[in-house]
Amino acid sequence: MVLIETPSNPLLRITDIRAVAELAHAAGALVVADNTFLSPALQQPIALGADLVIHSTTKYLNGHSDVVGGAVVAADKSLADELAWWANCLGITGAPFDSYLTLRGVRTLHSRIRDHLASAEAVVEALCRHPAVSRVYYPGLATHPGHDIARAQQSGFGAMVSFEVHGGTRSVELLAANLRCFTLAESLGGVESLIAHPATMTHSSMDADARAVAGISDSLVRLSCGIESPEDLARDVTEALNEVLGARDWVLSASIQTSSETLAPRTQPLAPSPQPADVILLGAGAIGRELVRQLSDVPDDARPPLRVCGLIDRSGYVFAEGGFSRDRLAELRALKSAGQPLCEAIGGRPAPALHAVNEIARHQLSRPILVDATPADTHDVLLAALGAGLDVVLANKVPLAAEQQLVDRLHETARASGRRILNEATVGAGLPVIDTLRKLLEAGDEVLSIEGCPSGTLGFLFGELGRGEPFSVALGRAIALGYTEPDQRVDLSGLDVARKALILARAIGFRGELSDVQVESLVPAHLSAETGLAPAEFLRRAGELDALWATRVNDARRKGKVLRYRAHVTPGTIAVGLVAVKLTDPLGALHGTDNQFTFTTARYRARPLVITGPGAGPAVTAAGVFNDLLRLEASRERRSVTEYGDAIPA
Amino acid sequence: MSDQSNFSATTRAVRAAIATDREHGAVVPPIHLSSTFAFEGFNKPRTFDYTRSGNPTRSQLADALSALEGGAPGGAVVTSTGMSAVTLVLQLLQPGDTIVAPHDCYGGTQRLLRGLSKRGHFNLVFADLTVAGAAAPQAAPRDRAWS
Repeated sequence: MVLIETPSNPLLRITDIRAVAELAHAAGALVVADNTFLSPALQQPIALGADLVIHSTTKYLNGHSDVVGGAVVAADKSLADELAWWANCLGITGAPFDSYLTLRGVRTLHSRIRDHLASAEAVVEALCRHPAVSRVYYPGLATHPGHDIARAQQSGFGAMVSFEVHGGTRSVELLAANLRCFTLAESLGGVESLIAHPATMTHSSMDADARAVAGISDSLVRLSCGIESPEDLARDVTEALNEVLGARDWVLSASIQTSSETLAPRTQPLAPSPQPADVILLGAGAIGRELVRQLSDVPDDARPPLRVCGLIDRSGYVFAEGGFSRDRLAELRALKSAGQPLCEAIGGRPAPALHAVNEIARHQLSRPILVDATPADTHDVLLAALGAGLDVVLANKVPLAAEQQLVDRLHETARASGRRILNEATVGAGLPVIDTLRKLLEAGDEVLSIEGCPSGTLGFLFGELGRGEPFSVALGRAIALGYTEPDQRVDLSGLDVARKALILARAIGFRGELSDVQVESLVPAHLSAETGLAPAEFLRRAGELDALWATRVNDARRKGKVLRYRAHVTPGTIAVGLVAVKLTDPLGALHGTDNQFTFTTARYRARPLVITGPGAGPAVTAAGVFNDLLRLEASRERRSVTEYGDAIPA
Repeated sequence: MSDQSNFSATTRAVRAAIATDREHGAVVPPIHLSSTFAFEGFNKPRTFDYTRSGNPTRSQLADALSALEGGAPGGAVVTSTGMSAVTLVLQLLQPGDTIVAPHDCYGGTQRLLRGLSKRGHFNLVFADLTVAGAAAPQAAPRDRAWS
């Protein structure tokens, strides 16, 4: 006989009923599934291969915490008859009055379960974003190891939620004392919400070692989410956890617990810190996810005053007033990495980006910053954000490479709202290109020209060609390494470089359009996107270009030169195209995804200022955004200090 | 009661034993608390004779639960507690049989399994069933429940 309990108590681990049943049946064993935690409204083990289902009907089936009862359901009548014989023989059948109450409960099972699920969802969201919570166990979270199995074999994730709080038993005690909608009691599945501490309650009969093996720590808390208002439950949990956090001595107690009692605590209580700035991320692709990772990975003691409170993608958005917890962010990153849309996340709402920004901006935000990490035309979204008082950080090139009048409008709106637009990551990824330019101009220098290779993708491609690789092979390698745009012709046509050149040129006074840029495309006219040739078809035919490129590369080599794709920018002109340069030229020495920018200015004329370094990939691009966020944050602190100083009477 | 079998589980849960009373046409079935039931005549028992073995109210609940879980018609037994449901299922085992249970199963179940296996009622193996296949190698070849 094999006994299954899924989800398990209290860690909500998931067992694949069908897989275990197949193995057990192959060995000739009976399969018994305890379905108490979900009820037949959310899981039917017999359909998944179980022979017998057992219940404590005390829980969801009766649902009102006023009956103690049980049941066994058999897939096979003869087995049921054998059990009925034993039940009578042993004298363990249920009482009529209890049966009556339980049947009355069963009538509302499905509508109660719907409400239970809504409560659990609200509570999980509140837990995931609270800094006093170190870990949340709920099969509905994409990071839960049993998530996929639960999704397949259950029709809902249940209303039992377990989590760990920082600070051990003391924090649990504080939490239980401050909750108003959760009663400290064993059992579960009733209309009323309950909180249990497994280590001292349901699992106290296990010794500490056995609890450790089972993963039941002293910090573990189990909630049975009832059918009170989900908003009340979430608020209650948040407020009680705020009390835990407010006590702050959990930092102290955590360090005492891990060391000997005679040792002095090494960790000091948290000092009050200023309210962090709220970061709203538009675009949760590779760069967005990397930024979230970089923000989360900063050690606690060096944590910048930034917190991510909103994520927006094509499908919708998630928002948490006060910011997401690290766990919640990890969970959202996992969801996006798995290709799922944000609107399907817990608490996710479907909405176009413009609507999402407006919705989020209606909340009480602390010095909010919108990060645009999309590759899209987000002009209207950025205008709305600036108008609503958000600062903007761009990794997206499109808005600043758009028509001059649209770009002017962005800057005007920012000025009118007293907001700033920073865009370090739009050119040279994380390299300090825009920052350097700003410093030169601020100090009164005059930029005469900027020359360089602003495309890591093309840099890589020419490096490979220089080593004798056929064009089609080099392109394939660039695609495999994730360096190219989805349609490689955006890189090869020079469009990407032209946009970057336009952004640089506008920064030194150029006024004009993308169409004013002289662009030398590397895509022959008959294979260009304008012909309607699909990207896949272009790739298939890339081999047709191998001979042409081999000739070009060899011609250059004979003159002791290598090919580079260069941008040349002055306040009045922009040109991008192919050049052959000597190996001794700074451009010739580039390799890999290196970008290079050479600033020739009134002060750096004889020996221009050169910036060189890797300029492609999510890690360096996200780092560029991170730096902009820090710069905004630092400048605002200065601003607020000034304002405060002004307010003090002389 | 009219046939409900092609309705959804929600409908069947709500309508379990509704309007089945023949005596007064009660919409909600009456509760039968009686511990014993009169014989129709000498050696002529009715459907129910003694509540420990059978009771109309308990039977209605059993039918509802079996329908919701997709069990056999008449395939449910209502017990006095959740632990008595576990106890009941364990009656299918005899000495020498093996039961494989989750290593993190409910404390009450764990206590019962340990207690009875110590007294030789069956062999007990705890395994992590979330790891696929963990249960299979634990099978002892002679087990009744495995054969």
